Amino acid sequence: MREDLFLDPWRRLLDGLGVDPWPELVGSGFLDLLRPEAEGGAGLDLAGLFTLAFEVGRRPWTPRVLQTILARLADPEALDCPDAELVLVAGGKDPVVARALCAAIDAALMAGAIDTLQAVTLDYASTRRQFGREISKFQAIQHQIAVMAEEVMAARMAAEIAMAGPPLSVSAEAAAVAKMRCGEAAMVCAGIAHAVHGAIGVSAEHDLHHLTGALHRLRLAHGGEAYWARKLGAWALSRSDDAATLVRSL
Amino acid sequence: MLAPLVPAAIGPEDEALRAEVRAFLAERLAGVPGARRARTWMGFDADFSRDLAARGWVGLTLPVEFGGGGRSPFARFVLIEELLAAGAPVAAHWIAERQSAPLLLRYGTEAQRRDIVPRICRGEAFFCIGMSEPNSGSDLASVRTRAEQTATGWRLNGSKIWTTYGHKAHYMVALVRTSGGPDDRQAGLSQLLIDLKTPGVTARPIRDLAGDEHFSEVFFEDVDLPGDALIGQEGQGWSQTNAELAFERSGPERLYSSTVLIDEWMDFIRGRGGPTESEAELAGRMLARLATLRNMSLAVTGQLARGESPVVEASMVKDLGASFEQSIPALITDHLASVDGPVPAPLLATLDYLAGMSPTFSLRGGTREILRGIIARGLGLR
Ligand SMILES: Cc1cc2nc3c(=O)[nH]c(=O)nc-3n(C[C@H](O)[C@H](O)[C@H](O)COP(=O)(O)OP(=O)(O)OC[C@H]3O[C@@H](n4cnc5c(N)ncnc54)[C@H](O)[C@@H]3O)c2cc1C
Repeated sequence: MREDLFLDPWRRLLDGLGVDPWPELVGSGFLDLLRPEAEGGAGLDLAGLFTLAFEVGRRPWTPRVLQTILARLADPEALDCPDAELVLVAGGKDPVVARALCAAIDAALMAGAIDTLQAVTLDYASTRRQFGREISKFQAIQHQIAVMAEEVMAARMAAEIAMAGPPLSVSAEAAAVAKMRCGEAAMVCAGIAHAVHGAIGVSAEHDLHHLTGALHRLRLAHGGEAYWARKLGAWALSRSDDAATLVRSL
Repeated sequence: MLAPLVPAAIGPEDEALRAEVRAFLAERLAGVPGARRARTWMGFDADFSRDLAARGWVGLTLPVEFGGGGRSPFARFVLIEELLAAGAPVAAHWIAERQSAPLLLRYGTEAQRRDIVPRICRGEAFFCIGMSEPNSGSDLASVRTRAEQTATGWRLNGSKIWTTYGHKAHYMVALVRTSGGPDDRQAGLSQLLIDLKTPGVTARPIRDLAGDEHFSEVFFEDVDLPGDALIGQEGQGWSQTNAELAFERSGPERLYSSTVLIDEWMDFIRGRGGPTESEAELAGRMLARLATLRNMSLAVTGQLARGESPVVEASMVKDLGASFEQSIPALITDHLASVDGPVPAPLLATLDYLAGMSPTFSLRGGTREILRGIIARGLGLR
């Protein structure tokens, strides 16, 4: 499996990035993962990129590597790209595909970010004590974290399914499911994480706001839940299939 | 933290079953109104179950030597997904094939396996679940129905309640106390196989808020059962019941209970011309959630196919699925209440039924709170 081959070096690279990360990132070759092998890239498809994007999502302080990887499909020299959609469209790629591709990547990043959110929330709930015991012993806290775990699983599933095939053949409908579902999960999980953390979670020093802040920005980027739900619904209602058939084709 | 679900896909040989099932259902369910189809696995139709069995569609995954189809869990996923989405009346055989047959194959005597399982697969032996009692709902370990050992077997006294089709099934698998007292909790509980024709058993249907009679109260007065009525081991009833509940909770039942309503609603919107933005948005939100749940349910099926026991994951999909199914009637009511002009009566009838019954979706098979407790335990919180 190519993706497994990449995963460990990728994690090490992300965890070791310094204050000037871009020369190191360029040198690593990872920025050209999606570009064709004939042009010096790795020719990775979206399925291969999923876990790598997820890992970036788990580290929301990482520089904009995913946007840059996508932008390089149109501009091989792109660096520190704030928004790949603009670069892809300027480079002549289909605007519908460009937006869907960016949305699918946003979804993978969100799925990763809420995975970390769950880890820090579990950890905090098991260490913070009130009324003489860990707050994780209170049923109300347990049930909130159970809901969070469900959302984490749902988000990852939605994001992973959308990441299939060559990047520029991404399915707009699958991307819609991913961005919509991950956006919903992000809202639920950010709310629960902050609730469980109490006041410490809104202090500047605490890492929590990096995660929830990233989630809020990703929700806004490249169309939010309502935007993608409308696209998906318009597609569904333009066909005559039943719901079960429609979801099977997503 | 839990390991992520691994996406699973249905292979072509299992997917091939779909067209056949769809064609059969299109013919058999033609003209059945949505409100009736919305009852799906609460709808009892013995003839329908036997017709499915005649096609080999009851016990699809059970071993061939016991009358089953010997197929993979994915084949069963395809079959039951179609049955549920179409709203087929599958209640008669549902419990027997989903959980009683696997239970008997695992813990039953050779005679029970040879005699009963093939009859389940032929759609001739229907089962009910005897867990809940008037004073034992979520706190199942507090059951008081009791069996005393006799010279020839067991003598049973007590009662069960909310037993789905207890008044129509042939057999019950019951969780009862066989030793110790209420303070012993899980210890001293056993599972009994009860032939419901045995003297001393009476069943009384309980009418639900929609006027249906699916669940019932079942009474046992000095019911003499043979020695081999004991399933598995004396005192092991609790862990066996939990294994049985894992079968109950792991299927796609918790996704499709409201799809009949979604389908009728989408057809109504399509008939009115192009959808408004808010109509498209509602359709999109419902479908994105359903698509994700289906992929999660498929992943759990993949775990079953690999021989794993995805108790926690199944509880997560069930809880999320039940919340999804429950949200649909309210979302659609909200939309229909904003529409100028008439809404078709059949659509309103389906909506009425599901609005009334949807609260049960997070009760049956373990309440939302019980499931979240299982998930919290899986996360190491308790
Ligand atoms: C349509 C339908 C079909 C059914 N079919 C069957 C069947 O075939 N066989 C069978 O045996 N049973 C059946 N049941 C019963 C079902 O299993 C029970 O309803 C369920 O287990 C809950 O029990 P209860 O209704 O007594 O509610 P209770 O257990 O009294 O619960 C009431 C409320 O209290 C909450 N609660 C209870 N304990 C706790 C706790 N420890 N922490 C937090 N909250 C708690 C519950 O979550 C719930 O919200 C059926 C129920 C329905 C609705």
